[in-house]
Amino acid sequence: MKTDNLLEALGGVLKSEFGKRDERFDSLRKEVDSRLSSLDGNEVLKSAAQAVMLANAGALKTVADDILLRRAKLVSGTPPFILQELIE
Amino acid sequence: MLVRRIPPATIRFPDGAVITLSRKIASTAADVAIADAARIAKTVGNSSDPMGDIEHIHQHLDTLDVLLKSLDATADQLDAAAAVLDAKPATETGPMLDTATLARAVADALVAAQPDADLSDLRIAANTLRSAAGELREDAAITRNKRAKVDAHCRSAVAEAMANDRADPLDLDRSYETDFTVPKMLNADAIRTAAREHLLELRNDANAKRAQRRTEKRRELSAKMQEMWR
Repeated sequence: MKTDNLLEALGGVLKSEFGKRDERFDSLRKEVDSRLSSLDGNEVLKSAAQAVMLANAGALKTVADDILLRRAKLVSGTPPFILQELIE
Repeated sequence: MLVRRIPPATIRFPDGAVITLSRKIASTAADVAIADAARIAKTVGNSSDPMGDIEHIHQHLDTLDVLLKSLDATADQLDAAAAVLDAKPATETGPMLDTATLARAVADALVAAQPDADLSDLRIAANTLRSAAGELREDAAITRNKRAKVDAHCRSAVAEAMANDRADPLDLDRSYETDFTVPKMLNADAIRTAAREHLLELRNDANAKRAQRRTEKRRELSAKMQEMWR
């Protein structure tokens, strides 16, 4: 029967697909394990601190960059007459 | 991760409208206000709704005042945040200051653990904040000069409107500033006459100045001619 053939083929495809995914997952887990075991506690703290510093300094820089580089935009409401042609 | 998302710098108007802040927005708006106030000052003498026209251009002054206030306040915040990033004291408060304080605190901890830690991103952020503050202050200074021009146009527009028969000089005098002394008797005709005299004076002054410029130019030209023929 046609449907049987179709289901069989589909089953085959799915099976091999799951197999591949398991393989990928296994290799990924091995890699993460090996990395974790090689980590030094001091380094983790330092890079975490670096990341927090960068993210916060970046957030501040974004505010300044928006003022320097972007056009003024309407957030809500109707702008006063003299601004109406100037903002998007 | 410990990150504070900072909302963009905005300007809030009394009627509820909110716009994001950008450099040069205030001085550009002031240009529009000058052109509009100058146009009204020319046409209000024959306008069918002088009171409406006068109120319209005086609202420009209010808008510019809101813009100027926001520019100053935001520039202060930006400068203070930059100071904190550079480990200098600041007295301002607000989301930008909180974020700057956190970044600086973590940077100090980092330097304690690793004396050669790279803080260049902190310096770049501080410099960007300072240059944005500088741009805003510069724009505020330009806008203040332009606001004075809008104000001058508004004052002469009020005089023109007082001279217009369709407007009520008493009402105008109660609500707006003028460049001439309004007679302090509650008499519409007296104010109207004073407004007309003031305008006539202005026009005579302008004509006198123009005539003076013309004679000066002529003198210059004839001096040059004599120089050439000598």
